[in-house]
Amino acid sequence: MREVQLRPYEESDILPRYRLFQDRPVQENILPLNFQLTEEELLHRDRRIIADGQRQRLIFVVETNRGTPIGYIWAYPIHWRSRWTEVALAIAPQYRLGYGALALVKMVEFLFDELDLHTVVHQIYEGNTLMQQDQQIRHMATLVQRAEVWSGGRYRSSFLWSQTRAQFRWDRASLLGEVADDAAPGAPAAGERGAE
Amino acid sequence: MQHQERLQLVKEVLSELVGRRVAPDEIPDDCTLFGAGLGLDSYLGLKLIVRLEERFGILLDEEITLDELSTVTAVANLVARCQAGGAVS
Repeated sequence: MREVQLRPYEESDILPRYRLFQDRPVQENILPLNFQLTEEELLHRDRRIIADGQRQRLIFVVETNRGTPIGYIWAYPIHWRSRWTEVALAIAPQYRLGYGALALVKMVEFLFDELDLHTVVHQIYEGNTLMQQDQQIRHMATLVQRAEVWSGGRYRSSFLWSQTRAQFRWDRASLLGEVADDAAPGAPAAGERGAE
Repeated sequence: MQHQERLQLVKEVLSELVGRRVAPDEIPDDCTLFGAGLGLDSYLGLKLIVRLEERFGILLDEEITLDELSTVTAVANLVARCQAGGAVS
């Protein structure tokens, strides 16, 4: 099975993550706040997050099975009382081959199975070129925020949808049905979903 | 396996991936796979790897990158290298 690994985010990962945030396609697909920070501001903020035990902003480094870092995935904010969070990720340009979708599956599994969260919210910006095509995203979205952010020289709407644990099991089987050997037997083939 | 035969098989895999939107014979050898060419996205890229492994009976490297899948010819060359010497990156 082709897969990725997630490991805890450490201080030595802060600057490589900052550099990835300078990549234009990444900037067009994540909240501007992430890349509007200067290197020093991000260092300061992420050192604090790490020192705090990542209770509100959980960040992982995405690695290949051989330990090569290829991106980052994070959950923020984590609403512990109502048990939901939002997930975002960024993958290095040369690895934009679906590794992000595999990282997302692993991350959401962790959020449901280990942290016992109940809902994960996904958000995709209009014009996203790093994951599945626009039409599929629009079909999946249950909420649209018009012209939510300014990035890449234009306003972008965002499309949001949520997953409960049960929905995730279904989506996971659908997503991995063709790219892994451990998908649920009899899993639905229609409605490919995933994010990068 | 000859280069032309390999190229043709790669094109068939690509045509299937894009839902037969483009016939294998309509795909030029130098066609780019992502972006303006065939328009594959990252998830289809992952599917491509899996289908190449199945179709050619090979095992591609865990850390394969976009450069190695940039064009139809690049993919055919990657497959050829893999067939010649096991997993490649």
